[in-house]
Amino acid sequence: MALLEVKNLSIEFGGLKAVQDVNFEVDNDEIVGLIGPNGAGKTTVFNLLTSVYQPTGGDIQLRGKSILGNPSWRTSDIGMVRTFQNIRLFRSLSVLDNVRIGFHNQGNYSLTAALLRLPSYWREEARYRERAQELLEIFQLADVAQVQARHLPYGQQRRLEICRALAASPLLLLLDEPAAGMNPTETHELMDMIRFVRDRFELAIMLIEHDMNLVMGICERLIVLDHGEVIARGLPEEIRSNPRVIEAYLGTPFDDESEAADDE
Amino acid sequence: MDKVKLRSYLLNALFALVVYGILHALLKSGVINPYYRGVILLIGINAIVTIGLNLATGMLGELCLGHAGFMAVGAYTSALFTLNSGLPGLIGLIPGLILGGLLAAATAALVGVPALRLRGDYLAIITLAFGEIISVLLRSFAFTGGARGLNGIPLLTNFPLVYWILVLTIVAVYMLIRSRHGRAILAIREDDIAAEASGINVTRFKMTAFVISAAIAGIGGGLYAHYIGILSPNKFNYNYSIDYMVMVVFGGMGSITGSILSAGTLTILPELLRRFADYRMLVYSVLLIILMIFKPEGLLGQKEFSQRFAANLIRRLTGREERSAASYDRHELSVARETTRRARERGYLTEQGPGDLGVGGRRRRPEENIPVAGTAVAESEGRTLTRQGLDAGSYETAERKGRR
Ligand SMILES: Nc1ncnc2c1ncn2[C@@H]1O[C@H](COP(=O)(O)OP(=O)(O)OP(=O)(O)O)[C@@H](O)[C@H]1O
Ligand SMILES: [Mg+2]
Repeated sequence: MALLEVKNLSIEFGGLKAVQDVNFEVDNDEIVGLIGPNGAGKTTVFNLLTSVYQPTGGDIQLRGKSILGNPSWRTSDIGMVRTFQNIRLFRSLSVLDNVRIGFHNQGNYSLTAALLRLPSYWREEARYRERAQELLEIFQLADVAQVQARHLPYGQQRRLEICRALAASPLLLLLDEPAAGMNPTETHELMDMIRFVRDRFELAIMLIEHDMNLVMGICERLIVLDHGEVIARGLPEEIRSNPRVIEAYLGTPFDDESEAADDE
Repeated sequence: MDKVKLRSYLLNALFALVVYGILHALLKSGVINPYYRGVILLIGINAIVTIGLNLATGMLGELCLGHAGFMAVGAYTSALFTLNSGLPGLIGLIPGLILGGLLAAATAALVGVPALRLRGDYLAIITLAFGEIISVLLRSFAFTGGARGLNGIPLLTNFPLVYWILVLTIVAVYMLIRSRHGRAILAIREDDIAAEASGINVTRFKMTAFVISAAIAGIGGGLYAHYIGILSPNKFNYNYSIDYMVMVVFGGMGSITGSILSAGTLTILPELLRRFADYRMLVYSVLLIILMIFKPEGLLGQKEFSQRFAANLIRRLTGREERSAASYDRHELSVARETTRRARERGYLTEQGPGDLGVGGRRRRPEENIPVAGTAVAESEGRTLTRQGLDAGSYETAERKGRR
């Protein structure tokens, strides 16, 4: 059984079919890329997977169980955690606290235990700190553990967001344009980290990305969306030369020329 | 358990005891006269309510404009209890205070259910309405004394009681905020969508913070009732809710010590300004505006006045600056250092790195490792130069241009 099964997934926003009859599966330990031009519906798919929206049709099953009707906050409990296209950090909290909040779904000690500082509080907090340390080391954020998240440079903020997501121990990590705004060096490092994380934490990763170097470099399988529909799927090499995909990206020849003219 | 933390808890407890000892001695010996004794009690009560409000506003990030209403619930409840229970002195007051706090909490739960499930400033509007409704209700019920209110409430509120309830409030809010529950509350203030994605049940934690906040206000109200001796519905109208909001903002949103400082300042200030008679409120407002212009984050911002803060202040004043450590918890700092050391040991931070993990710009990747099949990457330009099917260059421009 696949880890994630998406069947005929659809959603409409007041007549606009943002996602239409999308089908795909994600297996354990896979790195799958979800690509497509702007407005194709990629982020909307993530919002559906994380129950931010409820679909108007179709089903989403994680380990054979439908997630429809779940409140959004439960998504991380059942094993899916995401990052956001426009970075969403707890900006005035420290890097360490950002990661600690990521452990929330594994929290056990009660409010009483917190107020009275019972042993369960100390035990759990010590464990969080240790695991947070490990994550910060992997993402090279250990040096800035006490810095407020908003003071980090852009690339580190993106890494912190992944770090926080991993704290929740997901089975499936959803990354929405993790390399957006990174320079090529940072992007290459990110690719290494993503692979390392998959192996180290034994999870599946689904990522949306516009940077083709990254997509072609680390995705084992690609799903291409356009206008809310899957127009192609397969190995990176196949997608690269798929005429429908090229057309979706490049548009008409006329477009291509005008683009060359006004591109910086 | 954590030795460093434990030592700091003990130090703080010692500090609380010493301050209590000094103030108590000054009051007992008559160095502080009865008038200032009254002011000190009022500062304590205001500090309690302000810290409570700070939990809902500064830490959770919800605007509450009806905290005087929760105070009223606590004040009337505890006053009615001491007036009718027949229990003498503190034996009557303490259960009265607890009852007042619980009833204020229950009221907050009722008010919060509709408002806290929604995003946006619904709570501000609903609490504003709630504050008005409470004073109307107090005026119309017979058992609350109608418009005349309650008289002859025994003056049981004394310095030790106010002081230790304040200490308890500080400890409770501090322990809460430095726990997974408290971090969830802060996370909601920072970004509720990201909080939800991190598994935080936003509605539930909003409720927790709001209800605790109201309970603290209720207890503060009970203390106030037995400090002033008479209660009238007007005592808890909109203006008083705003006064507490001003104290929170003035002290710094989210800072416990800031709340205490501002409760002190803003309680004393009107007293000091008495000689300006009619211009008193004008001067008060102007001073507030000036502070907000020059220090919009309030007296302490989100910081706390702590041992380490004090130590740093002294260091800075004496010229031995240690700025970078200013916001560091000493313990956390040692954790960070340890982390870095271990990272080096394991090779995450070395020049070469283990296997795959390189470090920001320090290690260049050999060309052949670049995992873009069939394309050569010019790192200097950051673009794929060959045209094989889709390449990064054309891809980027196409998507940037094409689908707008
Ligand atoms: N909440 C919403 N209400 C109405 N329309 C929406 C909503 N969310 C998304 N859309 C629309 O759905 C379409 C798909 O948007 P989506 O954000 O999923 O695109 P995307 O593939 O992530 O694009 P990009 O690469 O620019 O991030 C767009 O036309 C968008 O305007
Ligand atoms: Mg998107």
